[in-house]
Amino acid sequence: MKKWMDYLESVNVLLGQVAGLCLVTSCILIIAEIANRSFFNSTFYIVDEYTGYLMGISSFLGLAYAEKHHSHIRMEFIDYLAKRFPLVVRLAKSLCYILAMIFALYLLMVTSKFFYGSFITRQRSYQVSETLLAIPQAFLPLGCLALFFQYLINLIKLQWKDEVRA
Amino acid sequence: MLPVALGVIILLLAGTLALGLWVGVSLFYVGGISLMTFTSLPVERILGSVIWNNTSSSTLMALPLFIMMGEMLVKTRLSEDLFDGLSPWMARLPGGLLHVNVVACALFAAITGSVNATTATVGKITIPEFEKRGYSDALSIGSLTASGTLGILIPPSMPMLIYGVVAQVSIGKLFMAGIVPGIGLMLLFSLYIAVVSLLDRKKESLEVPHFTWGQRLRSLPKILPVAALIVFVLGSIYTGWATPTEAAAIGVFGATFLAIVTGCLNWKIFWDCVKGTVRTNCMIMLILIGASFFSVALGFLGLPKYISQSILALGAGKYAIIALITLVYLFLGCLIDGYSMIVMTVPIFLPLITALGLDPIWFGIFVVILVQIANITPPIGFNLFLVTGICKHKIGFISKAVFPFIAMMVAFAFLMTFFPKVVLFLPNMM
Repeated sequence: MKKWMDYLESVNVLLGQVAGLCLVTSCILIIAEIANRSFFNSTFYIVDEYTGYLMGISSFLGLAYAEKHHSHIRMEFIDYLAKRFPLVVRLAKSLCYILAMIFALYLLMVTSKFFYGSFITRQRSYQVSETLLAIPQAFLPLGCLALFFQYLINLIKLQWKDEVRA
Repeated sequence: MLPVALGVIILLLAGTLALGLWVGVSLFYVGGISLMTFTSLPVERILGSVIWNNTSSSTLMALPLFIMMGEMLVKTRLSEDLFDGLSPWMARLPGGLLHVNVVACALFAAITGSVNATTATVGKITIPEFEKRGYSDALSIGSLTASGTLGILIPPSMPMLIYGVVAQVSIGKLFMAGIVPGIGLMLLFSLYIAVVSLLDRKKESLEVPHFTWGQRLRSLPKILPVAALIVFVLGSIYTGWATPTEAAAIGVFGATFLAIVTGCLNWKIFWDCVKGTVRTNCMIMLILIGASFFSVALGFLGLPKYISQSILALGAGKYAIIALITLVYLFLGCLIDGYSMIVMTVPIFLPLITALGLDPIWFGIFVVILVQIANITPPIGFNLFLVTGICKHKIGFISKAVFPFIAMMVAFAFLMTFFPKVVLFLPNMM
């Protein structure tokens, strides 16, 4: 089990790195567009559109990586009760992970349907590039699936941690 | 039905947040449950387009790029240079080097846009220095904790970007609107330091370094990179040469250049910056996804209109309503973080503000100041915890030290209400 968890986590780290690459690529594209506009009085036409896609891709691919590092914000009132009512806090945290997994699964379903809809209708962007929208949209369900697994891993880790403490 | 819906939403939100569910996930659940319970709309379809439209926006790219710029600059020697560059100019003022805290925080925050990075980086240099020189702990710690938050008022600012996206107002104009209040608040902090120092009897024992005019002039190049970056990033937006997203990319380029020139950058550090950016960006994006869905759900239910009409029907004046909103924010600031506060409250309060004839840009700056206060309000003000790691004092002492600064911020927010032109004259010139 641990081996599988490590494997899935390394996939999530990889997705986080791809998310980072998307941001760096966007930055380079934007700088190139500014230079092209300023020095050659010309435009690439696609920068604004592709920067938007890269933002969407990066935001979804990095969700699981951010969760791995516990970067997502939650209110921590319940943690103050951990010393007095450890079992209650453990149950509350487990419930949160289960709710978060349901959320990730629902998001996976919605984004998959959204992607599938664009794919079968061969929907294209209204911009000059006429990009097939299914291409950038394909990364959304991937990010949701990775997020689901990361929540699952963190839930299992929470149970293990408590077992070790007991 | 609407009062019932409002009650259910408040209870669900409070319940899920208190349980410890992630803010973005909580907002998503509350939005989804409200839509499913009180309407017969196709939730899946709404959610699909909300997600795609709110994440695949080039305007939003400004957010990770400004974060990356800040991550990069924190790795440079900029904070040390700022201290060395500003000290000769501030030393002879009443309050001496304490003003360096305020000005260095304001400048550093202006380019990094991060409260945490500003407070931690500037504080690590100034606090030990002030202790060594015998400055009042309360004043040095209070000024650092409060000035660190200037980063979210002085552009580029992440909360402003979030507000701009949620309220759908021009981010460029919001950035410009933050400049004058940011400088105003900085001057107010400095004035307070000067007055308290003049009244303090111990001031004779302070070790005030003496600087010649030659030393002052020679210190200027140390402030130059920061000043150049601020002028370049904000100037490009103001003159219309670049959009906020393009200005952010220019900022990343400038920060990378500075880091290379100062010998502070290698591949590992660069990659760490990128990874740090991904984590912060995705943290904010999860909240934004949940908030967009929550906001759409509120809109379909007609709750913002209902709330604004109900409050207006009470017949309370503009200032009374602003005071009420301030109290709500101050209360929420004690419990939740700034980003969550913005995304949860703006969809509700903005229609009310517009109905009162107030400008959404003005309200953006007003909210950002209240978010600043939230950062330093006990029990969960994040900056308070951060400063405990820098100085030897406990959170109680820091909370007391920062209290006069909180009072000044509240007073300043009200001053802005009476004189909205302070905020609006610069964006109106664009």
